[in-house]
Amino acid sequence: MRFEDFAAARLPALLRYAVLLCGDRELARDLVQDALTKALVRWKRISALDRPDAYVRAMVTNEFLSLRRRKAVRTVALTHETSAGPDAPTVPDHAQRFGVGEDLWHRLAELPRQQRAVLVLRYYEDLDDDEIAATLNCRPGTVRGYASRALATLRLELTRTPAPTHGDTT
Amino acid sequence: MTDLEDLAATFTDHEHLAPSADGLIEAAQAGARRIRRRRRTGVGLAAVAAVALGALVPWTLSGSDGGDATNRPGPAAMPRPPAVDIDTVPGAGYLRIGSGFDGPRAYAGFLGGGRFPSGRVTVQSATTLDTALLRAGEPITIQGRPAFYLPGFVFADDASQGQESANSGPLQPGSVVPSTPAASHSRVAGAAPKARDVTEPVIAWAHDTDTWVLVFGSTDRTSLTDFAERIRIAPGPRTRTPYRLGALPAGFVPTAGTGTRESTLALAPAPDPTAARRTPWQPGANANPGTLQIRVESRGPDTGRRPTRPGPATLVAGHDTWYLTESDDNTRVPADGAVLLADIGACSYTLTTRDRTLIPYSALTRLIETTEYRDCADPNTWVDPTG
Repeated sequence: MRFEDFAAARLPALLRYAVLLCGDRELARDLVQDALTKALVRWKRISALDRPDAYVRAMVTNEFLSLRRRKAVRTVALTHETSAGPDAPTVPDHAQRFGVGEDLWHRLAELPRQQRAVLVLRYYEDLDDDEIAATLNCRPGTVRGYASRALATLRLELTRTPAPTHGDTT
Repeated sequence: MTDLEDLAATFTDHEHLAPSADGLIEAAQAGARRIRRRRRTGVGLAAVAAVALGALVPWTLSGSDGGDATNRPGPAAMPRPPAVDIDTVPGAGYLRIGSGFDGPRAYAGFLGGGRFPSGRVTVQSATTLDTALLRAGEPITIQGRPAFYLPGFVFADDASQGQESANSGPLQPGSVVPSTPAASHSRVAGAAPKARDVTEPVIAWAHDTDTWVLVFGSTDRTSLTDFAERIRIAPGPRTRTPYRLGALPAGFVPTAGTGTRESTLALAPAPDPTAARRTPWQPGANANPGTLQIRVESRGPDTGRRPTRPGPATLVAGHDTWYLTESDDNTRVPADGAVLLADIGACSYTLTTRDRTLIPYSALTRLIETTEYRDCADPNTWVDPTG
């Protein structure tokens, strides 16, 4: 598979995944761009894998987990305060207008990065713990530990609406 | 309490925040080329470094000049340029050909009846000048207020300024050095003017308690005095541009800007401390390029400018853009920098960053997306870029 074909097909999903990881669209774009750049350099090897998409998703995750080392300056909305210099506020969250789940979204942002990554991989990407462990390069037990602590922090009830069975008509 | 369905729904509800994929593949390809090139050059550089190290060690052991850069005082915090509009009184017969700011000072250039600019004005903080030396000039009266005529001001040359300031005793770095009759031919403390420094008459006065006005550009005292009498300084934006920015890299401030028919705005984390000692001989031409620079020119039929664009465009916010990390025949890209070209209406925008790691592609596209645009061909529509 050509890199361009892979990127064209997977970019939207990678960008959605990245923005849920970091909560910031500009940062998400940077994460994906950096991951794609590195993937392209190694594309011959990556394209030979069974799941190149999983590999690149892991690269995006690693970019997110190593954010502290990043050097790039964030772009902030320009107000009178920002033009004053270093005391610039951060980008306003465009999701504020959405009331449903907003509290949960903000609480997610306060989680440690590994815990947030586990939740996104498990409840958005629908990966099982083994796949998450492979993505994060850790053991499944560690994944369960991260998930448990994250859910406790979020004070979520461990309930899930039963999936409809074949006999259901709704 | 919430349940896992709420968590999954929260993720789904926020996936719309995902940014556009426009230009990402091209940016990744450019980045990959850069990485491959660096790897190739890295091998060669390692060999060169090994050889250089062998030569350097004996030199280090024998002692260098003893200078210790870490012990030198850092540059003092530079004041922001005065927010003033510099012009002449209506009907004075002068045409303003350039205005803006550079570091801590505002400036403007004026064309008189001749071919060349017949007058230039700077307004800058008193802290960037040695006002005692200014006051050593010949007392005169301009616009009914005390002023000083200095027949032999020495504007320091950029390249030699660092060394000059080290020799100039009580002078603050970058100050304008008057070579007045009182000061004789010496600049101060025996430091002779350097070959590339420029000496010319200046009229100076205190605009208020914090700022001074310097008027120069004519060697004829009568012409210079006549010009100074017609200067008007009013509150106003530091510069006007054919756009109003909607976002900026965090901590960045405009550090230089100029614009009449073309507009250039430089932005950096802090004002350039060397700007105070530069002479605006050609307004804007010697402005600090900044870490990020935005240049705008009209590409309409009246200008005859139809810039050649490098290959197919990438749409950003509905505008054609091109992202370059290497120079081509038409566009010079700084080393380790990048250029984003954008055609917006009849205007050609060039966003240049000197550090594409600090200012990545996404930051440039966000500037394009969030900026409010005016007509670059009509300066009457221009606004304060950060107002």
